[in-house]
Amino acid sequence: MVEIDKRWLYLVLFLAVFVPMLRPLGLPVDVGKWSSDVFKAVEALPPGSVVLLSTDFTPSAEGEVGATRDVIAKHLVSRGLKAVLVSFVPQGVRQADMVAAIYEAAGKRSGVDFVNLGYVPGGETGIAAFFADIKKTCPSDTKGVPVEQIPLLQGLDTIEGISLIIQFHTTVPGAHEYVRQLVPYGVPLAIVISTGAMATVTVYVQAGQAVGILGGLQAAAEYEKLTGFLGAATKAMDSQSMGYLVFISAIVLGNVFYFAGKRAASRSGAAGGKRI
Amino acid sequence: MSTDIGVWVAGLLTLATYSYLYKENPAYRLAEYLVVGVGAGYTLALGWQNITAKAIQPIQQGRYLSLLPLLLGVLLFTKLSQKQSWIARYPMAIMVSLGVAVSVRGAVSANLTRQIGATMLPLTSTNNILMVLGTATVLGYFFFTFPANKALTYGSRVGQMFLMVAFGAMIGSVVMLRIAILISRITFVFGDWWGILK
Repeated sequence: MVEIDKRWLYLVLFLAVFVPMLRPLGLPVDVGKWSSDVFKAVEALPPGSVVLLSTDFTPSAEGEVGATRDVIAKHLVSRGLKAVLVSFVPQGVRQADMVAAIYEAAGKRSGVDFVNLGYVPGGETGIAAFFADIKKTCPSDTKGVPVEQIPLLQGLDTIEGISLIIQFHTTVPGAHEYVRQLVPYGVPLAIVISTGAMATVTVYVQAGQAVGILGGLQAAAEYEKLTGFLGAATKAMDSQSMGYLVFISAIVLGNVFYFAGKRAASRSGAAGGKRI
Repeated sequence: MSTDIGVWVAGLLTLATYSYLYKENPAYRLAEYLVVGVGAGYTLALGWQNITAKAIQPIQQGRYLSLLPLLLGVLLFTKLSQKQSWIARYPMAIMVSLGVAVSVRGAVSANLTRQIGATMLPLTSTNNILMVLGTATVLGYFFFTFPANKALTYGSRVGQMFLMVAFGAMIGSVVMLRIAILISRITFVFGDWWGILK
């Protein structure tokens, strides 16, 4: 059996990821159906429609869904869509702030073009309460402005006033809770998710409960390609592909060495006579 | 190189975290403790902000109904006393029963009937055939009501293979996740911090 210090593998992985950042390979990015479906759902909305961005993710998921957050925000701004920002996990408020910053950088005004309603506690119960009565659940925005004084929220009482929900799912509560609580309302839902949890939500697309899924960095690159806002995810694609190559090579080589070692052991066992 | 103190702190903590790959060390432990401590502090601050905005301020404005959730929340702290800890069962019971009731309302439709409907597909494409076959055989694998006959045994073996493929896909997804995090950190250290990557 060949024993290799695993730190060599870390070094190879680091180089595989880092070198393409210095010298990009320009590998193509193919757009998947689910990314395309989310893009089409946003494109189909008339300007002025209100989109709910539920940034329910923690900084640990920044590497995977941070780029998607940015490109979606840019897409919404470019389409003239208004955004209601909310988070059902405490750390998600900071993510909503980043969306707000993109709106502000484009000259959009808080309370008119977007509003950050902050963190809503209570998990799934909080989601249910928010859907049933937005203003009662969030009495003010993160700047302390009472919801009665926010023009964007006038006439927006329940979730039914929202044209599309884009939910960032990396933890609990997330897409599962959203799907359950959306049953009485039927508002279209798009899910942004880290690849690690993707297998758990694909069923919602097949069942027509979600319009599409943007899974991980790959989907962010696909969305960047669709919108033309090329950014961090597109740059990262070469590194990601090379990283996968290292993993696949390690699995193949590990198996080759394992079976070669096993064969050699059985041969030496046969040569040495019967073992007791 | 960045002159932002926040970027320096984040960069140093990133290096401290990845130093674990070489070997366990005090810098790594410091970063680990900081994550836990800062996370707890942040959640505490946000929790206090919420109590102020959603309970204390409404009470000050004369909306005394907000006293009820506040009182239930305070009662949770009786858990700290061995003698009075039974009192905490009341707010706990209300929280659990409310949570379950709210979840169950949508669960039957969202997680059961819609999902069953989504697998009742016409066998007109490879995808549909795989979906129906996979669902049926995996369910067969978890069928323990009576001793398996030949058909069920072979069916559950096929189901086992579908499960293995699903687990493989899940592990592959986790690898994708880890690489994405590594890319993000390398971009941060070499780009935002040291300015080598443009």
